[in-house]
Amino acid sequence: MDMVEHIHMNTLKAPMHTPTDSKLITVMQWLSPAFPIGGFAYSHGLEWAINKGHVGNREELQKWISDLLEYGSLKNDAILIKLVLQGSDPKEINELAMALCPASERLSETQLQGGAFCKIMRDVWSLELNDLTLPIALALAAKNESIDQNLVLPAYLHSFCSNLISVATRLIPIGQTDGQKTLRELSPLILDCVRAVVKSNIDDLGSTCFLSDVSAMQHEYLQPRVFKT
Amino acid sequence: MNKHKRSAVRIGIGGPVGAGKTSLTAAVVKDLRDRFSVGVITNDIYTKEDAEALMRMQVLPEERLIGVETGGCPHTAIREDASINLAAVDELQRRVEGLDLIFIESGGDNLSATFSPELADITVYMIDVAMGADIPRKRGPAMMKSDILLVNKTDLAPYVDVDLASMESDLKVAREDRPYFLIQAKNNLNIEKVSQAITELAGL
Repeated sequence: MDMVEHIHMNTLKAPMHTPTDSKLITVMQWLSPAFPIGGFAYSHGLEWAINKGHVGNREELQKWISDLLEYGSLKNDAILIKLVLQGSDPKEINELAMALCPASERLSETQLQGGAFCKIMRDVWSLELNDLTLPIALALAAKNESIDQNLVLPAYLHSFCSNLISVATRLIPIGQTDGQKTLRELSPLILDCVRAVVKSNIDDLGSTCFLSDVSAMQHEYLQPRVFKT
Repeated sequence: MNKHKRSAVRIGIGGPVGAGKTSLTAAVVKDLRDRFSVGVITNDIYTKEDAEALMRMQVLPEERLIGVETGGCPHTAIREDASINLAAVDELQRRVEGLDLIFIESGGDNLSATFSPELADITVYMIDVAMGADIPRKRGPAMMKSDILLVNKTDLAPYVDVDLASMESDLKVAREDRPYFLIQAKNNLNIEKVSQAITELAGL
């Protein structure tokens, strides 16, 4: 646990919860692949990109995901979470989150997972959340538990990256070991993204991951397909 | 909020790919639709073909049918993370008020598949004789724990070297006192017995 603290203290340069904090366990529960929000069914357009040969090996997968962290939807999600945590109107930010979706499957992906997240929040945490996109639902849940952005942002990004890697291990010839190598090598980029997002504001929203956005659009017509998006 | 005056009884239909789940759903729904308000959710791994097939068969009006794509994990979608199916159940009840029964057809399972109790109130598991006579003897959670067990395509038994009498004696052991039926979904054989068992279990 000392190592965890050490990494956070040195990379995020922000106040850190003690590792024994119950907030860490709460965030781990929300962002575990076992948290039943249907995450296993969404590829975020990656299925089409793999199908068309844009992503075909470990290096390309890592580049794909790191671009999302630096220039695309993952960076945007993180900014949206931060804005809500810092007191922006969640209704407005949720509308913004929907407007930022470049394809109808992107919208359904974030709304369906967000809706399922809200349902568990109502049923298990007695927190009355309804009809939100995933990042906004998560941000409001975190706010309710006084969970800091430095805890929830890396956990959200890590869980998203991990899900995309799991998509890739099911669709292309990368095995579980290469999947774990990819995730390990993405870790510093996740922390870079958090550092950038902590300093960002609403004007930093925007994506230049055009191929990822086009993939999400093209996936609507992909048949047969293993993933919903 | 999704508050319903009365929630429909949900029947999960599981079984390996090709067992005849869609044919069974069509036959049972045709038998029940005049007496009860019925909806159907089909789980397909890759497409929405099963829902479209039911529409083409004109089993139910379109608003009573939802096709759900479950991705590469059909078991997950009915068991440990049923959120996508639960959302479809909500959607169906929003569209059609006062549904009595909702059938949830799984995307094709292995013999260890079971439905989450949050998703299905009653579970029906289906195999067919062409899968081999030894499945009931091997048992497994779906075979033993489902509320109703069906063996479909009994007319094929002579062509696949299956002795129905010995298969049935294995079934009796595996099922103890739980119901099972030998059926031919396509030929409507014993479908009314299945419908009756379902409505009795549902308390209708």
